[in-house]
Amino acid sequence: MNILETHNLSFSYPGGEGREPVPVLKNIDLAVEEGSFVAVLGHNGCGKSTLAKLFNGILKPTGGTVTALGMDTADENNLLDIRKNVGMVFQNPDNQLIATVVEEDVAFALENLSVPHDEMERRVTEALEIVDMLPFRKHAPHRLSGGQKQRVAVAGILAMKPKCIILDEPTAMLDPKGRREVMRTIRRLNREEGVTVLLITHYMDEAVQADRILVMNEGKILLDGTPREVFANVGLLQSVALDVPQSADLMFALRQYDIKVPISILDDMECTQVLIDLLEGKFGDYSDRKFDA
Amino acid sequence: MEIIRTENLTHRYGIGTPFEKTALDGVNISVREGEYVGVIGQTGSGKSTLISHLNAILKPTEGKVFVDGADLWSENKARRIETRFKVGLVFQYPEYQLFEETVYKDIAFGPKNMKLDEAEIDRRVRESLRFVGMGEDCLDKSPFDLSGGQKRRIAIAGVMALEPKVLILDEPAAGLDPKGRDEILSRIRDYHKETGSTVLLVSHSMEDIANNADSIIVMEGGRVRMHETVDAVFERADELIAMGLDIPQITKVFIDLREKGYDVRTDIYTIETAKREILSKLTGGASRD
Repeated sequence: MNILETHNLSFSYPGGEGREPVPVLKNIDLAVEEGSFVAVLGHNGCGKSTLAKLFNGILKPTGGTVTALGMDTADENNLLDIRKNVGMVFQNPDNQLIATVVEEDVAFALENLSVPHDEMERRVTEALEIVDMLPFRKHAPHRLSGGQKQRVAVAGILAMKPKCIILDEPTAMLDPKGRREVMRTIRRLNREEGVTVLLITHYMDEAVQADRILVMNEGKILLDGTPREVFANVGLLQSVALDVPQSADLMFALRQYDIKVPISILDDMECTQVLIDLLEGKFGDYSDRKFDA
Repeated sequence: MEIIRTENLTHRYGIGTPFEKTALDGVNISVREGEYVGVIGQTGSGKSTLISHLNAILKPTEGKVFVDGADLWSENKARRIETRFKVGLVFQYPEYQLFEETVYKDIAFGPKNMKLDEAEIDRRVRESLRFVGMGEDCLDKSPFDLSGGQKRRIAIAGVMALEPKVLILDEPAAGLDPKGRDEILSRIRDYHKETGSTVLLVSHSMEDIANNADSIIVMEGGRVRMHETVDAVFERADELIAMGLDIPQITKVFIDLREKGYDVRTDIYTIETAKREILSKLTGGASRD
């Protein structure tokens, strides 16, 4: 089943007085399957964040339709249901926490939804447990690290028991340790809790953890496939100013010398093995070749 | 010639409160004039506390800081101010600090405070703008009408306009996309080459540091754990990983190859050097030791 769908979706921001509207998304047809983990890549201004905001009705399409759990986001009557089920986490951890105690922050949406007190307690505990922040439930959010704050923000969404969570560069402002914590939480949400994840990111090492990668460029979907399929297109990705994992980049560089290594290699263990095979002559004998590197 | 020296630099926050914390613990560093130094370490390792001491935003609890041979906390007030102007500090997310009505006024703010004359201020504004790769057509615009990446470049230009002997940048590429990151870092590299000034770059990205810096200061728990050339630091990759730092994927691969008995270099952190190393091994024959 598709949890998010777009049909011929277009979106333009209003251009201001006397100016033309600015087109951001152009005729996008997309379906995200329930339970999947999808990463969205693309440089700034390609329309990634706009797409995310269209999925839970923060923005309305200017052409075509967007449906979340089968409900049209353009219909005001659907918005509450959509937002309960499609939660969003943004880049800056400091802009998302509002309460002075962690557990109150996580309970914020539940209070707005008038969830009974006992049920609220249970859901807050459960959500904090999933993001590994239960020991901090009575702490003040402003004293937490960036990675911890982001995990509290994720817990606040989880407490609503959404079917889908959209994260817009959740690790951009975090250090490597914080990034690892947040990514661990995201994988767990997807694999153990069955939540559909849409992760917008600039980090290739995060994108390779997804089942599927969408690469956006100039308001369109440029590539759509498994990480292995997508990162086989090293030249194309670099032409739209995107990084590729170093291992894929090295394979691409070697293939420019007509060395027959596999196209798309993503993790370091695999890369080491390919290089061993290459050095042991499994991809041919290059000993009499002259490389002008 | 030495431009920065710290002697037993120690800083404790919240002295006498239950939150007392030693953020810097007897730090001794020495930076040569014209050097490009990367500063790396986990959050809380003392990086920001260290650089805040280098232009006297923080006062050492113990120890001394010298810039260009002069004590930053010397008794002579005039000398102290003169010395502090030699170090320009660009904070994290510097775009939040823009405040003037126009880009021109914002970049000119620092030079004006240095009481320079109009012609000199004008020269510096235009030159700094060029260093960050922005056209003069933005000078009359409000800085708030620019994109995030452009705002950040204007904020950096405002510090460059002080023409400091030492430019310190705290995570100048944080939150930017790969294109924006490369743009900012290459501008800083050009600035360093062209002006010959000293640059300190604080970053979480080992790759960014490896591609730009001459040497690396590695901090952990308020102490300097390493201060060596880039190659020498990467040779100690195991220690870096143990400190929770990320090393480039390709470096991991070459360390792994070496551990499996292949005679390859391990000071490899760019695709270019990785490619060359593999090509040379292919023609020289793979040798196991």
